[in-house]
Amino acid sequence: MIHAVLIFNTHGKPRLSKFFTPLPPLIQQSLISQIFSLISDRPAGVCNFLDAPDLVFPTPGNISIAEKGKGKTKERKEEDDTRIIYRHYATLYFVFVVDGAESELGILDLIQVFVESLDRSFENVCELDLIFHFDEVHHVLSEIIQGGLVLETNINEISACVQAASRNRKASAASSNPLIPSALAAPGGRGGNRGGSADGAKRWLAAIGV
Amino acid sequence: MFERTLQDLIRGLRAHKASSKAQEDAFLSEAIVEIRSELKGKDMALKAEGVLKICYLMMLYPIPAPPEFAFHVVEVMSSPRYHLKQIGYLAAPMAFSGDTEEVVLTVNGIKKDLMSPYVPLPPLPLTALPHLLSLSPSLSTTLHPDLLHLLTHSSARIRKRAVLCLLPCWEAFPEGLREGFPRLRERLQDSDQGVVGATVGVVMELAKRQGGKNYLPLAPELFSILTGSSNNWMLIKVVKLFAILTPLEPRLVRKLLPPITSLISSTSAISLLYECVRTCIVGGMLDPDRAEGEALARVCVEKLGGYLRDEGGDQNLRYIALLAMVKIIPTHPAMVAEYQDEIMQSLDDPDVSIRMRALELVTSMVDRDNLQTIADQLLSHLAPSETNTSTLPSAVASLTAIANQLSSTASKDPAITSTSVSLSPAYRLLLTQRLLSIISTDTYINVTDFEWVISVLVDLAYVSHVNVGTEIKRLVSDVVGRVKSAREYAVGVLEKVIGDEDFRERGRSGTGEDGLLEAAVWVCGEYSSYLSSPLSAISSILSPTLHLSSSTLISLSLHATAKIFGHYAATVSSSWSSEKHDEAKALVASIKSGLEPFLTMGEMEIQERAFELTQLLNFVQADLTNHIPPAKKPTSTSVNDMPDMEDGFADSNGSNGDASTPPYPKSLFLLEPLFTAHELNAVAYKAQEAVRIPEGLNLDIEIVPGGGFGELDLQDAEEENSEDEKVIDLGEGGSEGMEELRRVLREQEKKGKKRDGESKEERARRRAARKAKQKDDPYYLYDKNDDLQEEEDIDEIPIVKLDDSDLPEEPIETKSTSRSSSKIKGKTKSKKNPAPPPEFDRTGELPEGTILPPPDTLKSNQLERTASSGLAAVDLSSSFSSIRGSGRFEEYNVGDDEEKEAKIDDRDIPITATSEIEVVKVKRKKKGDKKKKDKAIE
Repeated sequence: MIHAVLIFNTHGKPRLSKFFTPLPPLIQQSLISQIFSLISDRPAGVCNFLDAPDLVFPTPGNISIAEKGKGKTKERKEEDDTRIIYRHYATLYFVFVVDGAESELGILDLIQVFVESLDRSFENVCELDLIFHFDEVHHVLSEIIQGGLVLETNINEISACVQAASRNRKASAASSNPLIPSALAAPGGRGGNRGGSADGAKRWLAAIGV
Repeated sequence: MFERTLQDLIRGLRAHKASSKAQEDAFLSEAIVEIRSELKGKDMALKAEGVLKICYLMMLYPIPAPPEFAFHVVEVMSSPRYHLKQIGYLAAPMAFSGDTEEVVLTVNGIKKDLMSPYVPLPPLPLTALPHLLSLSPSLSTTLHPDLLHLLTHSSARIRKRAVLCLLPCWEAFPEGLREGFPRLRERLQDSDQGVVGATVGVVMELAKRQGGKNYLPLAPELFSILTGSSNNWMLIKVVKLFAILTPLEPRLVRKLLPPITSLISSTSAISLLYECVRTCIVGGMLDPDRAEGEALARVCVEKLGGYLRDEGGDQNLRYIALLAMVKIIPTHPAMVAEYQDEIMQSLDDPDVSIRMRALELVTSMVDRDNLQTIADQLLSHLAPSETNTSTLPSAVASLTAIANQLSSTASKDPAITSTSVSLSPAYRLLLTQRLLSIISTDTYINVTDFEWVISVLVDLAYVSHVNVGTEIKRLVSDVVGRVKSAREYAVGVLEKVIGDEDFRERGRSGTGEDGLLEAAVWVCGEYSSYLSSPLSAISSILSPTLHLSSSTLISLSLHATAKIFGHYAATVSSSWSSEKHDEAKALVASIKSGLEPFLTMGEMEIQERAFELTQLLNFVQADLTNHIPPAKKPTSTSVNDMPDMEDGFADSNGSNGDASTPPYPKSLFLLEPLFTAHELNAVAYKAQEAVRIPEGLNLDIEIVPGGGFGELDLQDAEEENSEDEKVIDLGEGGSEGMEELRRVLREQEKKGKKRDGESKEERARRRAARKAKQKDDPYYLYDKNDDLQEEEDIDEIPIVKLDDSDLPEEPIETKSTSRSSSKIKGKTKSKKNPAPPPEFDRTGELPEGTILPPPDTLKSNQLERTASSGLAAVDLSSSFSSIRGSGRFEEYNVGDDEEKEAKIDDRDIPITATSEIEVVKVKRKKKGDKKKKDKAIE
């Protein structure tokens, strides 16, 4: 499975960090900076796989929560399995931390899919897009990978899902804000939303104390 | 109050980034205070924005989550608005950790969202669920039916998300796997390719985590995907999955070979091609017994070799080629050996990833022919840094003389490209460990030249700059102990090492150089007969800076000094002259002065050894001082600083210097027998276990009945005395004091014999008397059972001599030469036939007559057993019977519920031949069950 998806720029500033194995935030950050320093040391033209003897990626992996304590030795063995696959695009590094169940070259293709999906949803994506739409990047990622497993690899399907989700978001946001005329709000999907526009307006009025 | 949106916050942070760090921090803390109040407020939109901002900040800065952050996230999650809910679910994985109880609060909300008829809604909780499920097993139990229900949702997007959620759900709730497995199986034939892909992913993960056995029945479905699908990602997954399955079911190989071979020849995607090749290798399809297996292996290795040769091409392909070659080595070493040059080149690659893979490959390629080349090249990777640090000009110079390994290749181009990588300590450590392991693997099976081994070990200690001291120490003493022919060379080299003051200094910081020093000191002491100059060896062992070293090294040094002196003294006696006399006296004096600082050392062992040795030397010194060398009689004996010893020896040597006494002082033979009584040999693995308990020896019986204080002490003392007499051969002659001592000893011996001669009755009587005394003694623990027990006489316990003579040597020479010569045949590059390995002790000492039991695989099996738990423990094979049962696996289905209930706890139920009957039963019952299940869900 995929343990983590990271994006950081050439200065090591994280632009996206998504860990699919539960790790404490501080460990996540130290891992990011460790991986960054290892990757940024690598010269151009070397391979996209990072083997670092001094990097230990803690993978609770196949040990269920209850047996974490005694699974220590097993964890040791699994380490060898974990590898880091990355790609460098302009000012950004896209890093996937995966285990042996994933194909190395397949993940490289998947990174490409991820970047192209971002490109479609942002139209010529650049670092600034990722900075200011940090939530949107998460949404795109959630259409490709869920819980460390690949959900979809077809770019058309991914961007269709992303667009559908953002339409829903806009509709929902519009319906909760009566000041925006309902004509601007996208029509679809309102029926199912239990908080319809009229209902939303009432609540909003109640909230501001009218 | 004006609220910042996330965009405002980011802009603010960027604006302050240019200014000082303090300003940025101030802005940050201000923002956090703002966010806290937003989180506490009633407005849900603001709260959601606050949650989002916290998520952003937590990604960038090491800040803790604000108090009750998880609770706020739960609130946002339960908001009826889609866009707010989405933020809530986005933040949930970051907000909840294992110990937050908020997960429980979310159960009903998540359930409601999952079951929502509004199609865009269920994906939101499904996105966050894998994380939450892995945190809380109870959540898994509760939501499991809902997830199964969603598997048949009308929307494919929801179906595939639900499938992916099953993995963490079953991870936390393994029992669910039994119920859900048939539903998962149905998804393999889903109309939507995305759902099938997701299902394959889940099956792959399940198979990887609990072994493929449960998933063999899925082979038909997977096979149809393999032949029918055109989605590369899915094909890769299926091919990888088959790599897990085929080792369990060899018949799959025959079925898979055609489609995989056609994929290899037809696909344009290198990733898929590579995975096919890898599956062929890992899945055991290259069985050399089969003709097509050999051909396929040839194709695979050629593909990989092509990647490897592709200079200037894709580095990624070189990397994965090395990765896959490691797997093929065990079965087809000869094919990989054709690419040895390319692989060796990869060791010099500037890319550390490729180097590490090449290193791994190279270590598994090692055989008798290429060990030296490979080891020398690895060593040359460690060597270049030596020019950078250059703390040891003298050591380097002497070493290059000792070892010719650091030949011209070392300082050529790899030095330029690889210095930066070589300096990474972790890489150096790995390299060194690998180097040591290829040498010592399987008790030096690949080694032909042990002198070379010694020199490599010494080089390693000098140039590795990593802490492998203990390992080097172990290997050096092991090699020297096992290989008699290498001892002389080893002593020669190590003699120089102990004289290297710079090296000593490096070791003092605890960086591992001490390991070699300790070994060197020990070897020089133990095999002191090979020393070129015992005098200089002693002076370098007792170097003036020794007291700065570690206590282990000091105590070893003291002991080695004693050994070397003992040997020196014994040898020098054969050519005794007045010069030797002076030399010996000077030596004793210098050793004594060298021991001086350790007499007051805090460490107990050092102090003890120093005192012991000093006292022995006092003895020798006094003897020497009073000895008159044969040539020049009166001149040398002038100084006498040991007045108390004077009485002991003065008369015997001075006055009784007639023809019967040898021309040298007898005390020269004082030390040597202390150390040479028994030759140290390598002890065989399991020798201790192999020592059989001699017949008649019952280890459970008290050796000395009744606690045995008084009697034991006396007897011990006697024994010690008599032993002393034996070990320190006092010889005849000597002073009156000696005569006195001998007399006392003889008397004691007689007494002991008298004791031996006592009749049993007498002894029993004495014992009874003592026991009666002890009974009244309040300080004596009296065992009541003693009276009842038949007391065992110590002397009645038969003493069995444990013979420790060596086992006959294995005839390894013949075996190995035949092997290596056959290998050479295959090679065009003809090397000179390697000499048969020097005779060495591979097995080590064993008690006579024991047969080494074959290395048991039992242990590893047991380990595997115990390791399987949780999801891995669920065994589906008990309910859906195996292929082996009938050969047509299509017919099998998961068994009924009752059976499952009964067998849930059973681990690893062997597949039984009666499975056929089971299946019939299963089929009949299944329908009823399904109805029941459906009802329950509704």
